Amino acid sequence: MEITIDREPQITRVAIEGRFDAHTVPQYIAEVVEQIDGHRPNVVLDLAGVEFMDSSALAALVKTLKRCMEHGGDVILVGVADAARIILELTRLDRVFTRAESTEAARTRVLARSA
Amino acid sequence: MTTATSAEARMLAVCDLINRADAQLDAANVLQTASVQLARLTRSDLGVVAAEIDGELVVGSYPRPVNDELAAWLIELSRAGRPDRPLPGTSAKTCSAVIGSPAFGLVRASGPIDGTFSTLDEWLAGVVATQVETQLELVAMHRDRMQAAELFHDAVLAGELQQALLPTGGIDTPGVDLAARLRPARHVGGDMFDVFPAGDTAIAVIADVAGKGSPASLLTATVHAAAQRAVIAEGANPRAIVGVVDDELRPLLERTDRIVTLAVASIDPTHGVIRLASAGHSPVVIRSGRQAVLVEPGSPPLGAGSFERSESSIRIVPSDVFVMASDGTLDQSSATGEQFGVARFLDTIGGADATSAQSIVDAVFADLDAFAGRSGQDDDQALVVIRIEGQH
Repeated sequence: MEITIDREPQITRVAIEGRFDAHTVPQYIAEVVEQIDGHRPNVVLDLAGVEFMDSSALAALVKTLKRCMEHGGDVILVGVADAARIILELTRLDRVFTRAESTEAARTRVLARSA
Repeated sequence: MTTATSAEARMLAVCDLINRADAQLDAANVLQTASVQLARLTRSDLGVVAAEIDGELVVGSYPRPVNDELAAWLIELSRAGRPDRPLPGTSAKTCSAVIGSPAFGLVRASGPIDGTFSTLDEWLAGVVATQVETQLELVAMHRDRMQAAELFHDAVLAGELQQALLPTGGIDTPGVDLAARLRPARHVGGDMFDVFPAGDTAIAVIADVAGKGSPASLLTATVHAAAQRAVIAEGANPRAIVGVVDDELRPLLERTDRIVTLAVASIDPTHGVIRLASAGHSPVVIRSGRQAVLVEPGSPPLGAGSFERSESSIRIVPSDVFVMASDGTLDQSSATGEQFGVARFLDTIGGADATSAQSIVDAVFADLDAFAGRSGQDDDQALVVIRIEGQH
């Protein structure tokens, strides 16, 4: 799994590529979830490059959402690959996460909300 | 020559004794055995072997015991270097050797009964010291191995207990042929299922705690207990059962950042209906004829927030098959890194010999194993199969 992180004011853009599962979740938690704070409460998560996702990864996504909400922010999913989309739908977690068409649309939404 | 032969014989005696001590694998026994041999080999009136083990002083002595004060003095002496002072309260002649480097103990004989210690006696004391050192290392290794074995044994017992908590055999509900299997990826796992008879209806519960191994299994036991209480309180009312478990577990799941998928079904062959409430649990499958279709959950998993829980009804006729499994089946990967996936899961169930619920369970696990090949099992796998009996 490869995680690319871009920190902007207000927003952290995160792109995940490869297998997102029990083996790679600890890295994601350390690099993404534990970095969420009041200064950057919003995460735009690009799942376009995800090849596989298991229930541990789903739990990590829920944890991301909880941390963001605690700091008054949100998680917005963009570019959800089939491997991620299917498991999100199978577990009805698609109802829990906000989705946007593009990173730009996600940024606009976040900034509008926090303005 | 006589001396050499005698030394050889005495050496063999040391080895023999040490070998016998090997079976004891206890530091105190090792030191006691060595002190007996030391006193005999050197014909001394007091043989003492003392060592500090995990910060505690352990002493072996022969033929009479030495007090702790004396033993502490010995250790002190060994730390200071090669001891050359006599043991307090014993005759002037001593022979000694130090165990370990840096020294953590010593071997000392005083006497001897018949005159003076020879260089051979000094050498023998050194041999005893070396043997004791090796032996104590073995004791430590053995202790580590025992601890590892104990942990392994605990895990095996926990796994057996977890399996024992699951229902065995079938269920008495008329028209229900039930078979199930749980196969954790490690000794214990995050999956659970249970079935309860309720008059004409069977209630089946399956849950999957995200994650595997011991941490997941602890939460699994809690989920199982909550589900049992909810079934007792709510009866054959799947949506209410999910709601009760959801409310009960929410604070715990919030605190531990865990999510749990849960599906509860009431199967009523007499009235030809299955009611299903699923909180993010997948896969659930209904097979009619040779057509198997996925039944999607009505709401997200427990621990992902507050949601209205919903229920769906499925019409059933005899020979229909209802399957609830954990996602470890879908996520099983092959040697080439492909996933078993929903399509293969549906094909397996649709194509399986459906003479009994058990034959379907066997078919699913056989297909999973064939698919996994050498890559082995990745995640916990649970499967509950209910076949509706009677004439179609």
